[in-house]
Amino acid sequence: MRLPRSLGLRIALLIGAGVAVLWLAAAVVTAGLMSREMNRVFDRELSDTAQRILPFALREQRLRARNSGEVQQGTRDHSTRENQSPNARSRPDPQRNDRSPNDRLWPPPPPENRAVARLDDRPDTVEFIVRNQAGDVLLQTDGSEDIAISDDITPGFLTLSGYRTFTDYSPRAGLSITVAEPLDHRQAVRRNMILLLSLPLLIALPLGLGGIFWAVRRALNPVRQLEHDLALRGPQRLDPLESEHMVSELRPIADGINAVLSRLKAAFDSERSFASNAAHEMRTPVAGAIAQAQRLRAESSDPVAISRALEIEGGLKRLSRLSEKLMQMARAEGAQLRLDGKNDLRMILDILLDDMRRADPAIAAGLDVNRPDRPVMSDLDPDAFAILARNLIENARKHGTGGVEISLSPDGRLTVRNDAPALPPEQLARISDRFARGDGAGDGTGLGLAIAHVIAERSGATLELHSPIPGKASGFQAVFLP
Amino acid sequence: MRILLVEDDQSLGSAVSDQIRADGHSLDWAQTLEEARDLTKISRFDLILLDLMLPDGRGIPFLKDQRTGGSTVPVIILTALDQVSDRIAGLNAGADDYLVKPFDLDELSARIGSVARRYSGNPNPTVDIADLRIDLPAKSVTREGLPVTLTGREWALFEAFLARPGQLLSKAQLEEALYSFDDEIGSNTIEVHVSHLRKKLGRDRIQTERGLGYRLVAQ
Repeated sequence: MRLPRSLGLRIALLIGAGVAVLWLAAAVVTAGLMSREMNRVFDRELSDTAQRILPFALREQRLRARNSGEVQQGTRDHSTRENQSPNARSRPDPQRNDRSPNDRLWPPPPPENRAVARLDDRPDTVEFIVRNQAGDVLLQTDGSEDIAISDDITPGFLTLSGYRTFTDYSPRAGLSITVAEPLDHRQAVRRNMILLLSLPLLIALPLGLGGIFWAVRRALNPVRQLEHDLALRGPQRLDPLESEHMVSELRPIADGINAVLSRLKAAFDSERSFASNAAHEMRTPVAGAIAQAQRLRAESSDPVAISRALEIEGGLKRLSRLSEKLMQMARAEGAQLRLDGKNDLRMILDILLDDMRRADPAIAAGLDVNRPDRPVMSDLDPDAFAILARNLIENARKHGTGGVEISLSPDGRLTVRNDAPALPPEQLARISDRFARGDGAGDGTGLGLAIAHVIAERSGATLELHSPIPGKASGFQAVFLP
Repeated sequence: MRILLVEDDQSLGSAVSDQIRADGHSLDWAQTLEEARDLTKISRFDLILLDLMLPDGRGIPFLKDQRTGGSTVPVIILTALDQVSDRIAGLNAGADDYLVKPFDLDELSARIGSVARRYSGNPNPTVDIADLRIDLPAKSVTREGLPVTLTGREWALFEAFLARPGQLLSKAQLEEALYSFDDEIGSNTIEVHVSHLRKKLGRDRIQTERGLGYRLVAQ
């Protein structure tokens, strides 16, 4: 059998099945023991009934005998009868003292006189037959005529043809009594008993299962809490789970997850520091070479040497730009782009624009910046946001005609627009592919928009490119929604 | 100005040194943080150019130590760490400016000038003192509209006065400004140059405080 996927349901089913089996076993054993005990009780009842009836039968016969005048000798063994019939001893029978006739000699009464009818109409469960030594029926209940009671009058219990009989014999009176009780009565009682024993199971089992399931669900709350914590974590949150107050069974799991998270974080961190270390390792020698070329240019008076120095400088700067873009790409693809804390995107934009203006004062005139007065907080990695914004702005400057419109909305939406001829849709579609250059982008690396796309994608944000600008006939617009 | 360059890269360091000396400043070049610490203990600098990743440690703790030690020397960070977060960390540690490698040497000169001007209390690149108009970035001086030609040493000395107008400057402080020009500064070098400056800029521009030093009269 396949177990259900739910741990709670599984535990509830297993415990429930175990409880049900135990209960059933207990019920079967109890029913067996009770049924043995019941048989004993029923048998005792049967023998008691026989011994209670016997004195009455005896008395009845004496009366008849007296009436018929055929009085015979008395009992031969008083004590034996008294032993066999304790009821009679406790209730002294006046008839016993006047020397009773020998019961064995009593003739059987006429058949019409033998039946003992019940007083009411209820069906009797116990039938009896009183017989003399010869086996002649002296007295019998109505129902007993239909029963095939054995002719054997040996005292004791017998079970035959659906009846349990008990035969008692009074040697002194020469009378035997056979009491019969239908077995189906006992069976009905046994059935009832088993039913009564199982009835609680029918009610208790579903209730118990429900209870167990409820309890298990409650007990499994920490599992759901852990699941919830993990779901909240998202792809970029790598801070450790709180395992201090966790139940002991889940603690190893939480610790294991934390170990994985910290390894992941370490991997991200090392990748990140690799990107900046590599940048450092590349930038410094390139910076030295560019500075040397600039010094050569400044110190030389030879026009050929000056132009050579300029060319070297230009080439080194292109190399530097390309390596910077490659580092940005590596960083965007490898680093954690959402942080635990929040930063003001405005400040990052300000620093970036300040940097760009100082690096190239000509830019300042062309930038139209629109940003809110209140902080724009975001958990986006500030460096990633700066790289993205820088790439969008540089792209707009490089490929646009005229100025660049930059606006940051209070909810963090960054829009960069520039005027340019509208792009054909197919070119717009492939513009963010790596190393895809728009027309006339001579000195572009072809990586700017691709990097912006990677950052947007990896940080779960969206970057939309429009050309022409919606509502206009021309222009290019990039919208970043963090 | 007396400038401390902390940079471990030979090629970049030598180019930057040449550029700064050509600008008329005096320069000490430390290639490790330890060297830089020793130099800041024995000399007073007007500006520090600080690389962030050095063979014996990071520049940021060095900068923080300087600031907590009470140093108010302007600091420009020269670094290959180009991220905005690095920049914020640098500025928060007390840097005055931040230059990401590779940079143009002319931009470096301009930033040095601008930081120095901010520290002298006048961020304006042109300074007017009585009939003098001084264009700091261009290192040109005009007197009543006529250009005045100053030699490299004279400009270096005058710039030292301009950095602290009205303040008394000792002979030793002025000698530090000329440090880059002469390995051996003669005993009367300062007197000679001050006398030349007075001739070119006006007798009353520079006052002598006997036995103490000189002062630029800003009115």
